[in-house]
Amino acid sequence: MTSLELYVNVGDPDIPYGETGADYVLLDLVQDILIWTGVDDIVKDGLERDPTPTELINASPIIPISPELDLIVPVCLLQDYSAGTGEFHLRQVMGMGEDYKRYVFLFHFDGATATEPQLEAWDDDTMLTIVNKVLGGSDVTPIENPEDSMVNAVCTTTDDPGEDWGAPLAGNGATYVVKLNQGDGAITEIGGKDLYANIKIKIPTNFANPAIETFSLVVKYTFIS
Amino acid sequence: MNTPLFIVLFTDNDTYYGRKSYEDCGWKEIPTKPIKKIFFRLPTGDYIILSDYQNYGHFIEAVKVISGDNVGKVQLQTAHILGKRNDKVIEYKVHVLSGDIKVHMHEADNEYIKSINPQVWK
Repeated sequence: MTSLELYVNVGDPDIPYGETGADYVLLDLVQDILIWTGVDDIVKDGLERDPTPTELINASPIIPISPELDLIVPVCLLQDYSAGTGEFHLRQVMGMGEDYKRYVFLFHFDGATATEPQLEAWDDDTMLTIVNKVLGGSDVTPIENPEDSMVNAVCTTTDDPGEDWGAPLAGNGATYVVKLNQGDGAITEIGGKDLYANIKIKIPTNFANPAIETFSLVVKYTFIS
Repeated sequence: MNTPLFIVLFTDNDTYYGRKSYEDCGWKEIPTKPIKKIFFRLPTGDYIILSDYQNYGHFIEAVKVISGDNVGKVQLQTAHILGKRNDKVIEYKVHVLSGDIKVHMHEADNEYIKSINPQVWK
C-alpha cells in the first residue's frame, strides 16, 4: 500500500527536498500543529517554548476594512511537538503564500498511485459538506459557495506558481480541488514521487463573520495493491 | 470476511486467488495471461462478476487527513473495479464499509481514464 508523508520547508523555499541546503521537517500529523497567524514579535520562528493562548490571540492578523485589499495571512508556523528544551518549538514555513515560491509543502508518496492525488478541503473528515465560513459557507441560499473559500492552493510540482496564484479549495468539484501531480495523472514511478504545493489563506476585506472553525484538509489518493 | 477479495478465472481454466486485505489484495501479482472472468467480493458478501472484457482494473481510494479532526488518519474509502471493452470503460465504485455501489460508464479516451496508471490494467 502506497503511503503519504507531509513535510514543510523551514529553509530556503527555492531548494527541493533532498538537495544540499534543504531544511524540511516531517510533520507528526497527530501532534504537530500548523499555526496561520500574523507577523508578531513573540509568536515567530525560533520561539523555544510553546506559545500561550493569549500570545496566539495577540498575534492574530487583523482583517482590513474596505477599501483595503483582501488579507493574505502572512505567516504559517509549525509548532513542533517533539522539540525539547533549548530547541525551536516554532519554525516558520518558508515561502507560504508567496509568489514564485515552489518548494513549500511537500507530499511524499513512497510508491505508485492509480490516479492523480488531489488536495481537498471539507467541513470535517466525513467529507460531506462545505458550509464553514472559511470554505465559503453562507447563512443564506446558496449556503455552499466553494468559489469563496479562503483556503487557496496551487500545485508546484513541476513549476513555480507565478504571481497571484491560488484556486479556492472546498469540496470535490473539479475546479475546487488541486491536482498534486500538475495534471499529469497518476504517479507511475514504482519508488514513488515528491509532489509540491503552496497553500495560503485569503480573508476577504471587511469580512464580517469571525468564527472558530475547524475544517479538514485532506489528500485523496489511490493505490494498486 | 474470510474469503479472497477477488478470484480470477483465466481462459486456460487456471485460477488466481486474491488476498483478503484491501491494503494488500494481490492485484499486482496476477499472472499475465488472458482472463475469462473475475469475481469481486463486495463488503456485503455478494459478488460482482466481470467477464469478456479486454482489460480489467482494480485499485483502492484512500484519504489522509492532514488538518482538522482525526488528523493523520488514513481512511480507505472506495474500491474501484473496471472493465474495458473497445472504446468503453465501466467502473464500479464500491464503498469499502457500506458496500454502496455507484456505476459509471466512461469513454476510454476521456481524461480520467487516460490518467489512470497503466499498471492498474490486467
